[in-house]
Amino acid sequence: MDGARAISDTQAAGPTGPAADTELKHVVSDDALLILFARGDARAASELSQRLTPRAFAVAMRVLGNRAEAEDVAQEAMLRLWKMAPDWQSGTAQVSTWLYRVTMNLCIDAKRRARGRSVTLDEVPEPIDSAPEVPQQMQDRARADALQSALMQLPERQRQAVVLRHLEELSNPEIGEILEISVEAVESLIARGKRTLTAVLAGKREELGYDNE
Amino acid sequence: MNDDDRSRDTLGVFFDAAQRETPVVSDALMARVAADAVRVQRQTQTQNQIPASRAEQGWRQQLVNVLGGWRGMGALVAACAAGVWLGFAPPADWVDPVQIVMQTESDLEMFETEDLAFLLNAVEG
Repeated sequence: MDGARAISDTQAAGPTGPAADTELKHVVSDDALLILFARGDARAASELSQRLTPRAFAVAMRVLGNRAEAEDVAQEAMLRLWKMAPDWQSGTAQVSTWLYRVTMNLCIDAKRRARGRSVTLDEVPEPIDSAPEVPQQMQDRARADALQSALMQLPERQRQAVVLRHLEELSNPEIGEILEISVEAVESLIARGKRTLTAVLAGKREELGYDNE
Repeated sequence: MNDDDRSRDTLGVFFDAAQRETPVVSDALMARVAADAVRVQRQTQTQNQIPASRAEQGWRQQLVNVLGGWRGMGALVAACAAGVWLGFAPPADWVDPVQIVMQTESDLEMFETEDLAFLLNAVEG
């Protein structure tokens, strides 16, 4: 939806109320929400936070493997988004692409600061949900942890490319835009990263119940 | 089976599991992000309001502000009026500065006033 059209539609729906909130959640693009934010709309701030913070945090978490660092990166990325909002050129790019790029650059900075510090499985976050887990959930958790551990053994750019492709499910051109490299370079990074992951995780197949499927 | 197929089979299970186990954002982080949003939004609104209010003032009000407000403007008008008045009707005991200047620089006067009038008449005639 065109940004200006979305804004006028939203404003026509009224300044407050459940109907307007529903419209913001389901119809208005990130692009239009960012423009509304720059105009002082508090609902736009809330909706953008709900949409984008989990994505920034998830990708930072998977690239950094450390919850505290990932939270700092996600907060800083969102802060830069808020500050950039008045200068946002509607229609030139996707807000999510911009946010992923900033997040990835912040991750590189964070890793640079922490260079030399080894990453262990202990740094992989523990489950927050304290509810009893069914076997499937336990197996998922074990596999996700194993993948995270293997991801941390990849070079930085390979890890970023693999995370964006296979966990965030972005297209190769989008990843190229985020990492500011060609599509061919993205494909190369992903292929090399997956080869290493396959080698690392092959030894865990039996342990994690892979052979039973 | 080539390397890509093998990778897809082996890794697909792990990727699927990781997607189901998406890292959960803490309430504390959401609160920090929301606080940043409110703060930045307020700053942006404040910055936008200052130029807007200036534009609404109009050029007369801006001129008054540049000259120090209405008090400064009043003093300036009074000083100008006094200058004009003194120019037209100077006190009798004041020395005329123009006359002083003309006297000092009139040493090189080429024609007496009567000579100049005669010369002009001759040219016209």
